[in-house]
Amino acid sequence: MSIGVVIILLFLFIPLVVGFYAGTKAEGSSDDYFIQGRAMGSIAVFFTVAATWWSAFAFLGSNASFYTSGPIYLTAFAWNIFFGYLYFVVGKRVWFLGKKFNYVTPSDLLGEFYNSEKMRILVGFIVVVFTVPYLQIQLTGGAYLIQVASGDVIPFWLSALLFYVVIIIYVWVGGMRAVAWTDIIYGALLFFGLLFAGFYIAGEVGGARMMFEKLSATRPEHLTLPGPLGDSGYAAWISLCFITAIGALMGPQLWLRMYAVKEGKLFNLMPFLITFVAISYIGSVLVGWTGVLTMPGVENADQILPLMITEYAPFVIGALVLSAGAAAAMSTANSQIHAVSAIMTKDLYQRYSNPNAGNEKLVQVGRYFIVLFSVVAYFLALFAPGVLVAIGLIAFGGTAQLIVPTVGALFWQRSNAAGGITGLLAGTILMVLLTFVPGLESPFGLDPAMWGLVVNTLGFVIVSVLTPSRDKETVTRFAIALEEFKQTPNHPEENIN
Amino acid sequence: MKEKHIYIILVIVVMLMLEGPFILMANKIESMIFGLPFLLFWVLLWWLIATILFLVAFLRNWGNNNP
Repeated sequence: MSIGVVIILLFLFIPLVVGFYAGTKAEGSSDDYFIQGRAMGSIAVFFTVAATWWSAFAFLGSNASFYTSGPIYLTAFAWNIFFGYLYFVVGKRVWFLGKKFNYVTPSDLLGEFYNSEKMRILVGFIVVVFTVPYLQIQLTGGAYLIQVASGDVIPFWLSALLFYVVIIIYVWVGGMRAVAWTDIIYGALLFFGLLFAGFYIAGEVGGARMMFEKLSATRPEHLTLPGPLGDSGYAAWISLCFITAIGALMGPQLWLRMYAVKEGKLFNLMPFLITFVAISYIGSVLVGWTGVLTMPGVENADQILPLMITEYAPFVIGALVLSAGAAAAMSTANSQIHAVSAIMTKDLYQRYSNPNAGNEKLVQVGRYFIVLFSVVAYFLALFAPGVLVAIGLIAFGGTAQLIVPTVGALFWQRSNAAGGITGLLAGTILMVLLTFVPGLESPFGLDPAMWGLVVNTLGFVIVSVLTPSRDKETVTRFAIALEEFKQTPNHPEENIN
Repeated sequence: MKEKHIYIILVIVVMLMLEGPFILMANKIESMIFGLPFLLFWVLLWWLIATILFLVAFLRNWGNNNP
């Protein structure tokens, strides 16, 4: 058995141990299972947020992007800044309201604020529909990395299967706590893995400085927008930044990570931490651009990091770095499966099928949904592989639409359900049409999701103003809560309702 | 002006420098600074500024006096 397989098995085994240990801390309540009883500490929150939003899309896709499309992915530094800041501004308010009114899912907050069952269903629908394809990307990326790291000893279908069996087991046992704790390991692994890979690979051409010089002498088109293909210019630059940051923030997995936080003060620190870790994208810059010099013409650009690391690094280092990539995929996938299962359990099962379900029953149903979604994603990964960046952007574009009613709920009293629903439907439908209907071009080269956001906002504001206000009681309740937030942002009074 | 508003303005400035049309002016290779192509240097410069800004903001509780 090769050393690569040993590393991979260790990589799969350690989270199991952590997961079972987390399981021993479980308190049996559904709040504990889904959002760790709103008591997640600072280190876990930071790592689970960072690692969750740092997906296979970031790990493989970033290197691929520098390799094929020039510097467009540098916009990632800005999206970390923006995301970190949004997590503070939007996330902290969501957390505050969640703690005050006892929310677990995005639909809880939006459905209740807009006092609308339709809103609740629409939000649940959007987060699930746009999360599952993204989940499948994680699986495809992660399984591919495991396959390569094992030196092709483990075939793709088996890698994917192992990947999911491990996740199912530890999420089943430990819920949110297990996800967060394993994310600490994954987060650290992928942060150092990516940076290390970059500097190691750039060493092949005499170091980073030399690499930039050679590239500017021989392939300068790779160093400026719109890149060698000419298709990654300014419009793509801003689209990628805003859609990625907003879409990730509004994803159910991140939303649950707002509710789970123990102390409000942590949100004050997140912009700094999230911005700081963007430094590891330097690793992708170095990998992708060194690849342009030393390994031109690779057809599937997602493979550039695995190819280079297996070519240039000793096998052990290669396997470790690839494990880091698989960690990126796993840390996102575990959170997505967990979040989608939480939504189906709370928003669908508990609300419409069994409102009186006890804690044990809810946790049990949550576990069944975890298995169900894993199986769906597994088959999607086997039969529908695709280019990571493209699909990732559509998924983010869908969840990104939720930012409009969310910001409306937090900052605009006059907003109402008719506006929110109109905006969401118009924005999402426009985005899907612009993406999938042949012949329909997105104006100015902006991403369809950006136009979705524009139409969404317009529809939201216009219809809200033209239709009657929300009922007085709800308006007052939220106005008081948000005023309280202004006075004591770090301390919501416990459940007043 | 309140301290918390200063942070908001500074975040907007940083985002404008990275995502506004200014990025097109920085979209060049020369002159290389610290061996980095200018665009990369520009992005890293504003990234660094943002990192420091957020650290200062955290240490000063985002200008909020409430506990």
